[in-house]
Amino acid sequence: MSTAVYTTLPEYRVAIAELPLSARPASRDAAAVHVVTGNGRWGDAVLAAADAGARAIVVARPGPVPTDDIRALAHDLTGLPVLVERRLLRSDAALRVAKTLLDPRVVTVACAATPDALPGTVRDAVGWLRVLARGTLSLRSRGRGTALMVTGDGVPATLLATVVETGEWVRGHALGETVIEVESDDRGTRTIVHGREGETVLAPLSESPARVALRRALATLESGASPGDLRNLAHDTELAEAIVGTLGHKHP
Amino acid sequence: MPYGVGVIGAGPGAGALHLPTLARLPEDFLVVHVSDGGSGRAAELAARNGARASAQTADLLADPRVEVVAVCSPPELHAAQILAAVAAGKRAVLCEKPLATTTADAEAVVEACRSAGVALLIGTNHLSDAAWGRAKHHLLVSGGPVRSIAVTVALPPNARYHDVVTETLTPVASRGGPPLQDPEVAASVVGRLIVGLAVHDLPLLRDLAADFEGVDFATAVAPLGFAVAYRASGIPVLLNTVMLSDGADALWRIDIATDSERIEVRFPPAFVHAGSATVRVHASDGRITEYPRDPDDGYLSQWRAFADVLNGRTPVEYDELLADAVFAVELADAAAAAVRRGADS
Repeated sequence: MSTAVYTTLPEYRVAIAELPLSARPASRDAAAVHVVTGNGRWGDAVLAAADAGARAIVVARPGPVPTDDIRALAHDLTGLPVLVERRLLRSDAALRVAKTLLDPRVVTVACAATPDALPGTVRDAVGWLRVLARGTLSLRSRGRGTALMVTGDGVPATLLATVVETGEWVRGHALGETVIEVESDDRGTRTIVHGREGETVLAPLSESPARVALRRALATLESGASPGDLRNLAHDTELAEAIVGTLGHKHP
Repeated sequence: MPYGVGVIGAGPGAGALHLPTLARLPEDFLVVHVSDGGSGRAAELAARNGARASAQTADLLADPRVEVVAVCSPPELHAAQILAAVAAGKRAVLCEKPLATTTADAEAVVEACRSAGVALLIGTNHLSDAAWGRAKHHLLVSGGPVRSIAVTVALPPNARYHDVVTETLTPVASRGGPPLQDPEVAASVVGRLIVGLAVHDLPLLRDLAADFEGVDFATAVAPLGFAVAYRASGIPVLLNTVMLSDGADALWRIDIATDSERIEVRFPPAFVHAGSATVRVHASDGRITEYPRDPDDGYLSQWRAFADVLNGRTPVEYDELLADAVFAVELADAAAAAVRRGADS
């Protein structure tokens, strides 16, 4: 039994084609999984999809929006699953890292982006920091492009954000008896696990990000689970706003 | 004819680091004397090398066969021992990092060596590593201005690497974590780790960001480590270091971000002789360039550089040595103060 999916985004049409047993294309009004673009004020598109009867909503590559808007959206849509496909923080890569992590003693993430892309990059960098630290973070201190955060367990988490002329990347480490190294950019995510016997480079993730996001949405519908995507996005955005501000750039 | 080397100190810095390194350079150096505070380890090390042993630095400095002094003692003893070597008329001193633990001591030591014409070199193997020269050259010719620097270090116990370069009758005690919840202890630990461990890389960081401006935050990391952010020459620098009781092979890397590239320098573990660091350049268009590694590690390179100084082929950079030492002390003091401030907030 396949689930109806409404989307106008080419990559999600491909994702539907790549899930021929689980998903089928549907019209806008159908009680379907709706996929909305993350461009501009994407919260309005999410609300419109909810009004149109969406059973679940996928936000494709959301641009940065204010934390309060995300929290309001999460509040207004309680009970309706909203999943987020993040450009530099693939959910499958994050899940794989979370399964590999032991007890990190300190985690650190560095990122770089052009001024226009910086808010979204820093937001996803904070997301990686949250994943590597295995918990939500509180801001303790910050400098110009640097920040010290801590988890509820007191594990320090540091971030370094850099404005550059070209390129965009995120690189992180969880430092402990096992060291996890992640790199994410527009070519994908690479993960290396450093153990006593050497380094293990995890296999590349070959599934398209759109297919991963759509599959998660379908699984959420089936399980009835409540995804924490908007809550995590709000967490990461709030910290990113504080850090981007130190670089003289205004968060949207 | 090799130079006669007197080694002050008989801990791992001598037994697992400098003696195995000098054994690789028999044309240039010969260990003739080892001294320590009477632990007995000096006799053990000296016997292996056919050298004399003594329980007093003064005895080593009085030995006429000692032309070159290698200071491998605890950091707080370095300055006094260098001054004693100068007073004894020795020709040259290679001092393990740090040169001194206070600015006043560093100034006194450098001035004494300069006045007496004593060659001085600090054992900063990362600075001597050929890979660092390649990284700097790359930055000069194509890398553009440096925008930020991150140093990321996770170290298992040193004994793992001692075991591949030496044998010891006196095992090194395993690390116990200090009570970092005490702010004064945490501040002291962070300060000492900066002058004792981060100092490996501070001369390299000074190469790229020389003028210290201040610490943005600092915190201790359990069981033993630190996270520090500082600014120098307008460039943010982030240091994350942790020393562990077990676990993964040593990770020691410097990442430099420029406007269009990320330059990654990965150093081999301490103590081992596994060639130079690796330099990999990640361009924004996806190209990755890796420079060939040099067969010489930084320890060999630094002793070869010392031989060049002794043979008059290169000058001693007294001012740079002093600036490096003062930078380390300033950063350590500022970071310790930031830890105390953080505890107050």
